[in-house]
Amino acid sequence: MTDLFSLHPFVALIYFISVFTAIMFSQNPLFSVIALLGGICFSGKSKIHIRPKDFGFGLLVFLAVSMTNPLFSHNGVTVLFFINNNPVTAEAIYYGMYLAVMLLAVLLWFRSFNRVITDDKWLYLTAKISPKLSLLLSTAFRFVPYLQQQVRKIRSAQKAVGIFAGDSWMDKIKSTFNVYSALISFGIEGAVDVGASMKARGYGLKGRSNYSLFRFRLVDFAILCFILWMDIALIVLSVKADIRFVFYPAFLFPKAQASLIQTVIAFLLLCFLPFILSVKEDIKWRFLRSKI
Amino acid sequence: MAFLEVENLSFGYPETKNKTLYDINFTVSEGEFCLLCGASGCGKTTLLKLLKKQLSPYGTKSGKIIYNGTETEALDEKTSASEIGFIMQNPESQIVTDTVWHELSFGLENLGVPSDTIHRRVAEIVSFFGIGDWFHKKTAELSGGQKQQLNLAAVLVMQPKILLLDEPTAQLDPIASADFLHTLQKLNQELGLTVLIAEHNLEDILSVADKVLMLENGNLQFAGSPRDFAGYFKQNPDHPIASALPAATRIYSMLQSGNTCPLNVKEGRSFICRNYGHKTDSISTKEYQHHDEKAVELKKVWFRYEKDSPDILKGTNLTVFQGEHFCILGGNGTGKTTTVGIMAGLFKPYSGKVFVGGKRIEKYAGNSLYFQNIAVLTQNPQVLFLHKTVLEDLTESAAVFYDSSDEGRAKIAQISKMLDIENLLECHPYDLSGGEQQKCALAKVLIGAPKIVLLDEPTKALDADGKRVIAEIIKALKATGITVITVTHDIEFVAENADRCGLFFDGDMISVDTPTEFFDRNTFYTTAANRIARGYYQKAVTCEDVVMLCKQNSKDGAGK
Repeated sequence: MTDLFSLHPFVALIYFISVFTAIMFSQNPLFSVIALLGGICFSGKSKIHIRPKDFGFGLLVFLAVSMTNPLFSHNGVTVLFFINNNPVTAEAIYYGMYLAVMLLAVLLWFRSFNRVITDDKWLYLTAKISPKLSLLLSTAFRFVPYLQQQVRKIRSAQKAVGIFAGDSWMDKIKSTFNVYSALISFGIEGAVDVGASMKARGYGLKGRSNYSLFRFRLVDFAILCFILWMDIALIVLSVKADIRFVFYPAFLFPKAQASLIQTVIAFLLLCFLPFILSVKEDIKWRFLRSKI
Repeated sequence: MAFLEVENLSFGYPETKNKTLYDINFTVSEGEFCLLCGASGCGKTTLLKLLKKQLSPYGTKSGKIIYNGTETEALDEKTSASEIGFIMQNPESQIVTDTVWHELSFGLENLGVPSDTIHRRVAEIVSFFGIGDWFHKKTAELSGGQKQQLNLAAVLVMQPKILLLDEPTAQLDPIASADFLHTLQKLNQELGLTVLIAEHNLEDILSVADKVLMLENGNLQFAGSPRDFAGYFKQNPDHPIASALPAATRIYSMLQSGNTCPLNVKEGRSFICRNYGHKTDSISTKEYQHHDEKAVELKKVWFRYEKDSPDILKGTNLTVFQGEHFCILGGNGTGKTTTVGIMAGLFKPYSGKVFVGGKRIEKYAGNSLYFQNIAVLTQNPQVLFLHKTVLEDLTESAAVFYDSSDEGRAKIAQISKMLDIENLLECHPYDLSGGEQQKCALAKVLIGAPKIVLLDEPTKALDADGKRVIAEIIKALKATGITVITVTHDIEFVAENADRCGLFFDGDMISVDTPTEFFDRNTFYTTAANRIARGYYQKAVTCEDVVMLCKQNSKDGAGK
């Protein structure tokens, strides 16, 4: 299996950083559209899924952002009409639409980021910087569901002996207060045991090593190289040629030149990389199945 | 040479007058399965903790503990951490990390073992335990039994030479606890691992042990083989530990017979067949008469926690009559606790009717359901305590139910006298032993003067004496006309104390009957005494029943 989910956490992190940086600094509506489409294709293909209501939400954000911009920004030379003596310009409308698409692309990629870089990958990455912080986070991640469960237990136990079981406002406040004070003593009790258990298993000895399930495979290396290659290409090309799209005061298209086309291709490949990986997996499996 | 040697060990906690351990001497050989027993608070935990350097409590210690030729205090930190494994009682609170794989690797990481070796050792232990299915799971998703298995695996991965276990099965249900003991036995027999385990319930473990140690008030009262241990109770049949012995051993010691002592059901069966006839093969039981008034009634109750989750109760019908002690038995996750929640108005069924005291449960407004009516003692009594002393907690409850503080104080005095907790009122609830906590929690439950008391696993983690106390309290409550409904795994407790009981299975109550009838009709899900007498005597459910029948048959002189 080689898709974005199964890549080494470090490679996945580099990938997301590349995509986010490229979206933010490109200043070109074509790039935002590509990023959005890439995000939609990947999410739709993988287990992240895009539901109809996500499209509804996206449309809402799009309309809200693209319509607010011309109301506040009056730059631009093409005046369409006036609202309260303020000009509404075509440039401002288009700029609003560009902002909206960029925002949606960022939101969508951020959602994928959250689903791909799970708790354990975060812990692995933090362990590289500080093993102690990583262990602390791991114990915290374990403690949260434990305390949540405890809150439920305490609440029903208190209610079932009739203490602050009424529906009044005062009762509710008092019962919440009680639950949390009980939770604190319980948490401390639990922490004593965890401490003993850690100590019993040798925590605090010198020379602690770090174990993880993630292995850096050849394919991780290959994909990392590819990502870095695209990154370097984007940086070099955008330094060489101005690919910016200027909205104000009037549209100024970047010159159609070889380096612009190359940049677009590099960005396309970068944004569609996870999608391509997933599709490749599908094809491979279909192929394997037909052999069996 | 002994593997573990304890010489003249005495120990006292700081700022206490009495010592916790007095002049303890014993040895454990390599590969021995050693059982440590004794009543709650006798010093078992302190003794076990002293054996492990990292957990050794602070206090005044004299005497020697020699592990493998070296005093534990002089042991190298690494050796002590890896070679002496320790498992505590609560499966939940020993888990350090959020995922199963990380928990397994945690100890090895601490020892500084290289990553590749950790991978190999983790793989090995996962395969040995057969826990590959949940290797990638979050620890919070595991059941109690699985958590304790994980704790054991996480200690074993460090390749210990001796395992110290402090009541590891006390918080588990019977199935999970049998599984756990099985694993231990396998480790001991197949790998020759030395085991020193403290346990309350001796039914399944005594016949497995090579050696038994018994502590009493900090003194080592007995050390020897299991059969000698059983023999010890023949001289002291009223000893508080006696009721924790396996049923076969209890029957033997009550009969005061002169043969070799049986330690498990198989030996118990042959012991009775060899020595007693069965001309009188049944005891006459009194017909059980219940009260006419119904205390709680469930009619075709359906319940699920969430819209998309499976049904927990599937048309459950249940009637509990006034003044009786009704026990609900059943496996884990079958819906016993949910049923209690429904009777107590904590959950609302989506279909069906619930009557409490003849009135629909929905008709009770505010907290009137809990005032002089129904109250629940939930599984973990600790969650009921919020204040610094037991008295403060009780006073708070009393303020809810009684207008004048005098009235409240009178009620507290009355209840604490009945439960015999007057001397505990000024203590911090977390400092009490399990049984004492249970009693104080029960006091809090009784403040609202309930007519119906629901107890969820009241005997969990209690020793034999604690169970006896709970049984007596239930009798006292019944004497005042209170209806008691108990949810429990503890078959023996039900056989001895219930008026009626039923099995919860697949969302419904099955085979509601008196304990005698209920257990006599079962073959697998029944008391050890009943399994011993099965096919030989009828309707013998408790050890006392079997003993009575044995005595009648030998008096008649009717051998085989």
